[in-house]
Amino acid sequence: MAGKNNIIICEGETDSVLLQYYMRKVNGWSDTVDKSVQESRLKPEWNKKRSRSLIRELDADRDVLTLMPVGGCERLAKGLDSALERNVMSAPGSSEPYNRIVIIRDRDDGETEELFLSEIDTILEIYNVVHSETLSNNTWHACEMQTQLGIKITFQLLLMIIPFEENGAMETFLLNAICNKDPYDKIIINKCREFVDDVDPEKRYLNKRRLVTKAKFDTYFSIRTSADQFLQRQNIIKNVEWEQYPSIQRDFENLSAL
Amino acid sequence: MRKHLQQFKIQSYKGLKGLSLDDLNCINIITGDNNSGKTSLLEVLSTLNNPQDTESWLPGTRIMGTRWRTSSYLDGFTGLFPADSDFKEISYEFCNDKGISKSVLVKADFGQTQISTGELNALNRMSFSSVKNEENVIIDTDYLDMTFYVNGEKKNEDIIYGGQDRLGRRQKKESFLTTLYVSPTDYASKIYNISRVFAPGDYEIMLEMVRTFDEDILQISAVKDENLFANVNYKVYSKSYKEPLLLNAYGDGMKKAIYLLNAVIGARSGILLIDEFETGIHTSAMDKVFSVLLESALRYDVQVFMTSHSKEAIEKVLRCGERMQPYVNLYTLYKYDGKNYARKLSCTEAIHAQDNLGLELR
Repeated sequence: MAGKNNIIICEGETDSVLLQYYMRKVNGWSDTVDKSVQESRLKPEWNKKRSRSLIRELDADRDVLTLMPVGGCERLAKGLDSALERNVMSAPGSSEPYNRIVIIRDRDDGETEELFLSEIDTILEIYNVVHSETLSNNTWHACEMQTQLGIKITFQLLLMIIPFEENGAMETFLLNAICNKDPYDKIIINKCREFVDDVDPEKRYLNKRRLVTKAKFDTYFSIRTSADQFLQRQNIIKNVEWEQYPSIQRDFENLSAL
Repeated sequence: MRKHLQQFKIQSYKGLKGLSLDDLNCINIITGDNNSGKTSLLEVLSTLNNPQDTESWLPGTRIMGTRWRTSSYLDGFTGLFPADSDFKEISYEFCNDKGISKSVLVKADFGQTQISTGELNALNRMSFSSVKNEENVIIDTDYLDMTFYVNGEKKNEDIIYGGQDRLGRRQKKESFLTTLYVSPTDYASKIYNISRVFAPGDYEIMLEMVRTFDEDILQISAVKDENLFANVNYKVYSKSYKEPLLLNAYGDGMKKAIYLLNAVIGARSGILLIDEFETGIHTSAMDKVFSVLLESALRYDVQVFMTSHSKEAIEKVLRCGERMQPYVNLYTLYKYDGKNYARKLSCTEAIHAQDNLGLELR
């Protein structure tokens, strides 16, 4: 393995599949079955189950890109911690340390950008990472740190906080795309949407727009792929023409630097 | 068990410069790319037995081939010193189990001189009477003058001349530690030298270990045979055969395992240096063999340094049971930007680095 080593840390498996599709289709990455590349993936103990299922190395020339879903926005900082731990312990002059680290999350109601940036800054401080500018959204930051052997390495960090709009949400786009393709599924999807809108009138559980959108998405898929849910769901997601999703081109522009 | 060495630092030896192994453990796996200095490290450690004696440095010259010497003594000893430096010195220091630091320095001076063939023959232990007068001539030759210092005090001086075929008399022993070095192929040529494993207690452990290779083995006996070099031969009694077979008839893996166990016992209260510890041992036998060897090392108070290229073998040692894990460290040697580095990982850190961080340990 030679060249640049990159990682995108995202919230969930669906995000990871979407990103894989986008990076392949738009930025020219491709799948690899190279065993050495697969074996050298980051597979944190706390994330093992998920990473085995979805992490995929995509080669562009001799670079490597790992997509690591962490199972929730509250674990994104933990994902960064694991990536930096790898950097600290990496071999000198090797392609083991991550040269570019991207963290992608959705921004939901009531949450501030500053809180997330502060969490990230805390992790960077633990590893004595030096960055020249104050952390900000959607900007590449040049960073420097030392390995366990006292050797300086540099990397770039990109934090992407994608604003949440229900109509623009990935899940909404996906369901609309399926509706457009299959009238039978359209009926099911509409009934699922009505059910979710009515089932929790006190908003005891579905108390955020993001959660409502995910519930509609999951309700449809619990019917569509009730058994063997995971693989079938992935296949459906892969077959959607994501490049037509208007938000993607805007939100993911910075990923072309990978 | 004691860690006879807590820290070992090589300031200069061959291509090694400033290599420091810190926080040494009872079992120390040394790995790294080719030419990263693994074997050189073992060579230097082996001199702890008697660092002021020229012969202690002989293994590092690598001039003794399997049957024939492959180079001259002068060339071999010259090769011990850094090639790219004007300061021809070998230097190392270490911290022992009591926290006391000690140092060894070997200074070299090269030059040309004249020597009579008679003197040279005397050095090579050939008698003067075998040299005719007209043959006793003065010749020009290169020389290497080595001065040995231990803890800053001069202990020995020795000169090696071009054409010299033997080393001088051994110097008085000033041993820091008992050391025993095992090359990857010693078991093949020295399998006669395994008497220690026949001691009560060790014999049963050895027998249980060899049954990993062949479960039908009943016993192994040492048989006197004055026709042989070591006056002893080893016969293996098995359920599979009516007559015993010679141990030599068995596979390399089993012989190596026995040889290593013998070496562990022989290095009692000292350090054991094993180069490419897994050579000859099949993966199916590794769990048992390594477990026996490491447990024996702890029992006999032996601090082990063992090199390996093999991912599989390293993995087997790292996962050799929860009881052993606190006693095992992994050191990966690197050469980067003209400097030597040793990355130290404890056993659990190494497993974490490989399994969770996706890092290469070798």
